[in-house]
Amino acid sequence: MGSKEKQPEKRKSKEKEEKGGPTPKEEVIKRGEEIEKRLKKLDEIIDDVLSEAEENPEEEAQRFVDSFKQEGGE
Amino acid sequence: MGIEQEYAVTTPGTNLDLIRASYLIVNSFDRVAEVGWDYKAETPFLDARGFTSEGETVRVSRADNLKINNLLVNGARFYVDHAHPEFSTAECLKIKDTVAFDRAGERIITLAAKRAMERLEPGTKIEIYKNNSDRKGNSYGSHENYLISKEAYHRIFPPSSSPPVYLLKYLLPFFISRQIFTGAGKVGAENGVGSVKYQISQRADFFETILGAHTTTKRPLINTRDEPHADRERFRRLHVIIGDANMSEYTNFLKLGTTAIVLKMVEDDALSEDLELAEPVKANLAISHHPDLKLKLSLADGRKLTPLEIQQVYYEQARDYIKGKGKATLEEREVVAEWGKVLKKLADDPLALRSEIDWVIKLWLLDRYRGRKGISWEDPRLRKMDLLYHLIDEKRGLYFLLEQEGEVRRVVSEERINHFLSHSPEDTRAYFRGECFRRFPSDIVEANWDSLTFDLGGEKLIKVPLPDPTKGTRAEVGDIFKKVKTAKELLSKISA
Repeated sequence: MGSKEKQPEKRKSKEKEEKGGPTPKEEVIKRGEEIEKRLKKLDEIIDDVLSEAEENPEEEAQRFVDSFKQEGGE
Repeated sequence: MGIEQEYAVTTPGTNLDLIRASYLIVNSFDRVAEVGWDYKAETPFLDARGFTSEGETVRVSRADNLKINNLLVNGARFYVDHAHPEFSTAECLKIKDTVAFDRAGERIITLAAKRAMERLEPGTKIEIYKNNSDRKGNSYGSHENYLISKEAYHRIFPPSSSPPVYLLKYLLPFFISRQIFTGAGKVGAENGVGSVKYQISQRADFFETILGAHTTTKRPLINTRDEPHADRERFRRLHVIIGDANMSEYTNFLKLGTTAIVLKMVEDDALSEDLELAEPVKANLAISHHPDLKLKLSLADGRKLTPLEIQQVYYEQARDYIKGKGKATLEEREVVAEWGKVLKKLADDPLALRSEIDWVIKLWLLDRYRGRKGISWEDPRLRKMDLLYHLIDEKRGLYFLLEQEGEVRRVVSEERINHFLSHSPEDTRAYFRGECFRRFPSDIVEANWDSLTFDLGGEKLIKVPLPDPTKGTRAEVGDIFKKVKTAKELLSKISA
């Protein structure tokens, strides 16, 4: 049953190759590059939020954590 | 069902204390009317086990009542509880509506904090966090409420002379093990319970006993507060305090959905697998401290099961229950399908849930950062990230940033969330309450979940009971609202 379901996919890929579209391998590479780009952007956003531009991000983070003080609730 | 969320507040760089800040926030959101909270209608010290525990009844002046409480046109209660602003959603019938309403609460408190800042000296900052602890031993809650039948409640909580056998065997193991897909994650441990680099739940460090009516001291896994906010002869409210505050819509959906289904199974006496844990309080903590999910827990009958295996037993029972139940809703079917998928992913590769489950999303984020910077788990930047994940701020809140980048899975639409900023659910009594607030604000003096008190200028106040949370819906009273122009006409129509 599994092989029957896969056949149309194979046919599609072959058609793409014949028509000059991206091969499955190229598609995987392209998708990988897109993910990398997305994650890099996310890393930059997080560095920005964590004040990585500051001289001592560690100390700044410690100050932030220390100042986060609440009273118990419920 | 509904959620009560206590938010954390910080006021960096100012002398504004947390209590004053909480009052300022709550009173900075649109007040529809001078409606106080009806504390007389509350029974916080009645215990499900059949006795009354000690405590002081709330007595506040009318002026203080109005400062503490802001009752909203969407049927919600926005108020000050201890040193926290708290948002209680209106009663919702649908799981996704509860998720959307909870998110509307985030937006309401954001707007309220913004307005509060405008009333203060320039540069004063107020920040809001949706989490459950300050990592210094102080915890605050994210409670869930579920309407169940009186019979089901007594099945869970028998009279005080009997041990809660049903609870221990059939229900408590669900609440303890559900954290593997409901936990919000936390760096480190607190409250003197040992050390750990990263744990699944925010709250597990704080539970000390199995049962209890209180929530602030000797925190129980299962709260026995017998306060139905409805007709005691028919209904009870299960007040669940063991959950975390969820940022992820998907996690919240699964938490509310699986719990609602399991409670329906309690009503139908459809839980038949005895999974009683040998040491429930210790098991709750141990699960949280083992995010590898490999820990084997001792059961009372001598078996050893992982939390995943325990959840699998509940899932299979629920799947069969829903399959055999002709009237299961589409939402219930969706919950069961997702429950099965999540358990499989947790077993195969938990990081596959890095867009869905809060503790996994946070772990992925922290691990990625650790890898890039080459830092240890003790680095304070990770603790800062942990807190910032819960910051309710579109520009700096890490969860919100992930959402904007399309990195997390949405469950409800923006449209639905925004709808609940100013509208109540139409399929519960919240519709009646919300419409009364909207149309006749100056005629209502007090409210509680199960009553509204009108002052129509006569000798006596008129109290309208709302004992059935499923009544007072738009389908039932929508036409009446269209036909009446005054509160007097409304009361005359509904009494007829």
